Amino acid sequence: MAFDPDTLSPNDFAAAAAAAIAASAHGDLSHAARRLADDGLLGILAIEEIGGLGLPESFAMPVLSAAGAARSTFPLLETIFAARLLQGRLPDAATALVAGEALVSVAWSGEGSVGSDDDGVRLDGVVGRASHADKAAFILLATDDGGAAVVSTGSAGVDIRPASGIDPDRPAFELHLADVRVSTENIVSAEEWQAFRLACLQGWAALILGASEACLAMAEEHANTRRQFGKALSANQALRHILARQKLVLENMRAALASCFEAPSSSLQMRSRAAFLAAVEGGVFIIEKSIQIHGGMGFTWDMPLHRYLRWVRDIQAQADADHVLLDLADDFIAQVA
Amino acid sequence: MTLAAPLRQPRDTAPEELSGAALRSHARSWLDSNLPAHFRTDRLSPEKPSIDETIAWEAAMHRAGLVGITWPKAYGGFGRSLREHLVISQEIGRTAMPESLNSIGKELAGPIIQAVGTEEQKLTYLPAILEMREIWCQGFSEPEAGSDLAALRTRAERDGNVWRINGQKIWTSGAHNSQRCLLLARTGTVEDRHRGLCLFAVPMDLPGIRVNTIRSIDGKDSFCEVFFDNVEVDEKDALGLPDEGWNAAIRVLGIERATNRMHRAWRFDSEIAHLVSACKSDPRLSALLDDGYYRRRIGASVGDAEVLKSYVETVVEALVSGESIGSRGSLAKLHWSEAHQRFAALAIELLSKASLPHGDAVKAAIARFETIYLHSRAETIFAGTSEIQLGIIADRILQLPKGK
Repeated sequence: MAFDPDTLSPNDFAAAAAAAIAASAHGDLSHAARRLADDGLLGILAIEEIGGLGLPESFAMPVLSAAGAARSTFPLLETIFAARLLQGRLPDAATALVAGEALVSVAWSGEGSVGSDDDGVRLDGVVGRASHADKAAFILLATDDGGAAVVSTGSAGVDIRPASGIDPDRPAFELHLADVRVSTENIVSAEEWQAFRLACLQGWAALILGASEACLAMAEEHANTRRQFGKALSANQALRHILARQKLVLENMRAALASCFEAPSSSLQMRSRAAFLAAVEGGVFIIEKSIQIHGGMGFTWDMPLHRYLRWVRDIQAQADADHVLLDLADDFIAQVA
Repeated sequence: MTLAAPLRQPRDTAPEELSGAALRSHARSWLDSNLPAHFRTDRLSPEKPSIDETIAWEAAMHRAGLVGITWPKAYGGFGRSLREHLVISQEIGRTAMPESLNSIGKELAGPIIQAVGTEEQKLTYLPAILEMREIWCQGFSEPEAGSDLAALRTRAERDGNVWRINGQKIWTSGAHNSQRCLLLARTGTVEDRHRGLCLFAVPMDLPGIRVNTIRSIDGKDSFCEVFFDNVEVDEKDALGLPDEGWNAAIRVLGIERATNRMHRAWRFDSEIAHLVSACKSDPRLSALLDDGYYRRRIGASVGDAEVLKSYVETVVEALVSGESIGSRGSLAKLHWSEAHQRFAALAIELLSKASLPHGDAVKAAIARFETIYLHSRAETIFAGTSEIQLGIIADRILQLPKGK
């Protein structure tokens, strides 16, 4: 199925994506994968030759925002970007991802030690923060030469162990690698890996934007309907100003993300980092304040606000937001004479 | 006068066929070539630009096609697109130069006159603003009507062919250097609140107008109180009918708040670069650029500036696409003013750790950023305080219910 980006706009996808993601929420990850694949969302960026839609990155953003709002537990960001990354080097794996026949996980922390001998490329070490790794067919992990590698979870020497994590909806795992053998096609160059991570910064920003919009909507609804002292909570200036500040940072996030796709290539890296940082900082602010506005109800397990908060905090750790901030500063400092 | 020679030439307008990168290149090279050395805010200079020099400089900017970019050609503008306005604003922002002496004329009065003025008023007022023959001030706030403009008491009463004005304005920036005042006065009663308000273009040399300067926290005579004692304003200087002018002004300002001073996003960026550059010139400060604490704070300011640039660009694209931007200007103003204050505080804190004796680059940075820091305290107050902006966001964007 091919789409013409000249006649479609990214937002044309938003409503359809929201419906598809809602439909995929009932059932396990395999069920979700098939539903999302049937709706074309897993291959939105992948080339047509492997079953993708071949659309620009901006088209993935409303889809990811819809997933963020719906608290989708499916590893959508990982699948969308990994399918594009692997389409040239491992077309069968990429095709399986786009078709919803296989799951991919990314180990966001740690690096595998890469070496080579007469038998090929060898990986050792421990990597972590790999959500749903127990159900994945492939793991994408950073290597100590600046690049990355794709490892089949069934490979000899791969030991997947549950790890502690703040987000129970996306259980985290560690991978212990001992003399794991991969072919050269499984090796991702440093340049490709950096581009992948940069695209993920935008994708995370879109996920958090959707999650934050959902939480602010809940806070507004509660503040407008909950009555105390004879009037709605939102009639109190203190709460009106908190809600207004939440809206301010939400629109900061939206503007910063949108500008990534309008900016010249020379400023893409800076804009992507800024968009991600605005999203993490803003998302945490919005969700924490939404819990506060809900009072005791906001502190309950049944209110999903904590689930959004856990997810955003998990993304903050996966992306190493502090490192992103330092990179942003260092690049700026370096370019000043 | 020490202005560069090209400033005295009659016309140096950007050719109409220039657009995109060529227009940017023209603006950049013109500013680099023509900005007098003592106008540069990132360098030490024993002399400061005088009022006359500033007027000459801004008039030259207009002749070069860098002011009045989107205004109609019939009124002295250049009839360019909003995207072209953005390009030129980016270049003005990147240049370390003083803010306009006539920003009220160019950013407030001009757009309002274009919206509600008669043809004669447009032909009279607008070219005079762009050519710097008339500097404008804004007579809105009063001692008892600051954020609550609807409570203003300055009265305008019809008396034959004139309007007779009595009252007092305050926080009127630059009134002592202005030739005209965009005056908001009441034709009805205070109980009428937002009704019965009329806008005037008052010549500041009329009998009965008295101006007292007020020293601001940066040590400058930045703003004034202005007294109107039986001032007779010609009816031709009324902007629209009572109610009409003010209501139209509110509509216009909704857009203007988002699009005027677009340059400040890129000025913010260039200020951060200036701070980093000054730090690199100093051994102790240079070492602090490797310190994680300061790197993170610089990174946060860079991120804030990028968000502000994103706001400006997305608003321009929205307007070009014909979208309504509503009260989005309040978002950008609130973000900018608070982020700029954080950056200014960082700048003076960092520079206070400079090696002794200070080198010229550090001296220039200290002089600039101490001024910016003090002035930035006003940025969350003028043009609607942060609290007013939050109220606008709550009322008009979120549309939260009021009362019970």
